[in-house]
Amino acid sequence: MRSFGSLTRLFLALFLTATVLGGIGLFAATQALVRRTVDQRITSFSYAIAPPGAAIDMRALAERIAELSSQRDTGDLGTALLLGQRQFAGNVRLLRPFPEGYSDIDVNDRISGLTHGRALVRDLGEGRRLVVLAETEPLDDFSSGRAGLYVIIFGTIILVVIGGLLLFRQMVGARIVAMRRTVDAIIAGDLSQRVTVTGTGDEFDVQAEGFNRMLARIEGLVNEIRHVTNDVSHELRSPLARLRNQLLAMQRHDAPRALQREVEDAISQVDGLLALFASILRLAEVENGSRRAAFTRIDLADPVAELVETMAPVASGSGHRLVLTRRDRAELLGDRQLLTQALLNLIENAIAHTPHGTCIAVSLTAADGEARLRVRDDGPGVPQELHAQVMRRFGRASEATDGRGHGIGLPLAEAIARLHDGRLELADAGPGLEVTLVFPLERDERRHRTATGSPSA
Amino acid sequence: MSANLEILVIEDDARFAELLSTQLADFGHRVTVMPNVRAGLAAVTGQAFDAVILDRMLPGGDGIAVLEGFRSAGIDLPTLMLTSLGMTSDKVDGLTAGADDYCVKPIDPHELNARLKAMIRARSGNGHSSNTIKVAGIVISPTAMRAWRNGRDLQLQRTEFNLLLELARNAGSVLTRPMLIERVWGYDFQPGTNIVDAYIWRLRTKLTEFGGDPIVTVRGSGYMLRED
Repeated sequence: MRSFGSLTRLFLALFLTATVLGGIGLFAATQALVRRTVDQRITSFSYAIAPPGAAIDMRALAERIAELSSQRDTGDLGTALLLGQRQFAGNVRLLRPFPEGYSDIDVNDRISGLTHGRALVRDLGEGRRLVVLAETEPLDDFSSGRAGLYVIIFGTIILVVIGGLLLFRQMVGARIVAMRRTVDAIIAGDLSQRVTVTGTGDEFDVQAEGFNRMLARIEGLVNEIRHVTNDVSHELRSPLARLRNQLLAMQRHDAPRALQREVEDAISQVDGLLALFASILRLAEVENGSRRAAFTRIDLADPVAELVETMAPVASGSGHRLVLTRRDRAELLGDRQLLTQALLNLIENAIAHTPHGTCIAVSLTAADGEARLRVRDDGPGVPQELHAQVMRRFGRASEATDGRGHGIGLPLAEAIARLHDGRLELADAGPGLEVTLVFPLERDERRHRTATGSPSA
Repeated sequence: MSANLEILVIEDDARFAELLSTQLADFGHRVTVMPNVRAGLAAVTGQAFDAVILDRMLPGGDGIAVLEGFRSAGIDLPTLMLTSLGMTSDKVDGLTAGADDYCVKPIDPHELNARLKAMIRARSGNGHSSNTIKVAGIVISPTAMRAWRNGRDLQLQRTEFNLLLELARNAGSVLTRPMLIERVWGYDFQPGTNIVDAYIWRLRTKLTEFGGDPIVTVRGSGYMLRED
């Protein structure tokens, strides 16, 4: 299947060739028809003066010429009767000898009132030659005028067709761009977008209405899913909060130490559940795209440096080492809170799922219009075949982990990356895991591309 | 915990209001419940309250309408918005409308109590001035970003300093972990790891080098800097 553009170009090329060739052909055909008609006329006139095969003497010929030349219907024809080099009779004076048979004559032959014409020369025997000539153009410059007219007529047709085609293409293009914009907005999470219906009832409107009905249905389904998730989270948070209060109350009484420890453990489990629901609600908030409205231009380097500084003591508290190996300037449009949370999730994941002594390296590089925020650890890593699983909500690399982390960290980081038109990449750091958040840089930053690395540990 | 508070709760969910009353009574506060915007506005003109807990979605108007009603009546009570709307934009709306604090249901009673006290304290005292603070043998200069304990320089890193400053400004009141995350780190989300605990530990280590432990851990709740 050829593309829309190349089909248009092919059609235009064929149309132009056909129109131009048609114009030239028509001009040539009418020209040929005029010549043929003129040739017939001069032939029959020549025969009228001297019928083939009949022996006529010079005097009789001269009389016939004089007589026919004075008649109205043949008076515009030129005749000359030659005997050797001498002109014996006729109404035109020839400046040059014309070849026998038919030939073209023009304004250079200086025959008064004639610009283009045809001549017939017949040998009548005994050195006598009869020349008859006639104009092919009833008016001066008739042919060039006719050619000009053709250019105007066919040129107008070409202009109308090309103009119409361009207009049509632009209209179709605009409608497609409008639909495309809606699709992009929906991909970005704004399911409330609809394609504009112009109200003309054309094919595009019919298409757009169908498309919008489909979107409404999808939006309904997605909202239903969201509501279920949100409602479950909300509904479970209240009883959990009550449970937590009761546990706290138990702790306050002078309970034996063993019980106290168990209650403390129960409280931390409740806290884990509350954190999980907070994350689910946060994920819903990120995915509905509403936070985009509050995007500001920020240099990613600032929150990254701040967060690594904040998390370094937390990491060392659990026997890990957290370092910032590279920090480029990376200006982008975004939500500082969410970007911080995304990186925090990655760092917390690394701390939770690697053993003591693991080094976690954070780096921020800006190149080729992209900011790459990478968290790389030299721990045991995640096998390639489990990468898809850890990206799933509530998905973990193995059930045998100590249960830390609720399986929302990576999906939330990915959702935050997507909200910023970015993505999350998982790679094997051999050994260890490498998680990279990729964001498009602000556009004018792409031009300058100031990647001044300032490494700091 | 000296002063018991007179608290007005504007909340249409009777069960939730009842629960809130019981929980706040445990801390020694007295609670008056009003079920809608009009009754709420009428109550504040007739009785003196220390603070208002305001639901966001009420019959007869948005909770934000109550805040506007307060303002036009010239009433300037510390107000905490408590709502089931948990999106950041809702929170921003509430705070720009003039609420002192904004919390999402359900809320831990310790958390609520701590926030109420901090809110009232911030209104009464010179909470955020740049004046030098002296508490529990600790001297903090917010302008110089330096702190001393019993005359010895504490050499605090930036976050440690901010944490100490927040604790000192609210000395005698409990600050919960979510409150500290919000105020010291400025996050609008709760991290999964205990950033607060890690920093309290570091701060404690530096503080106890030159004296006793001035930071009290309140079980299930948060941290408090002693006033003396």
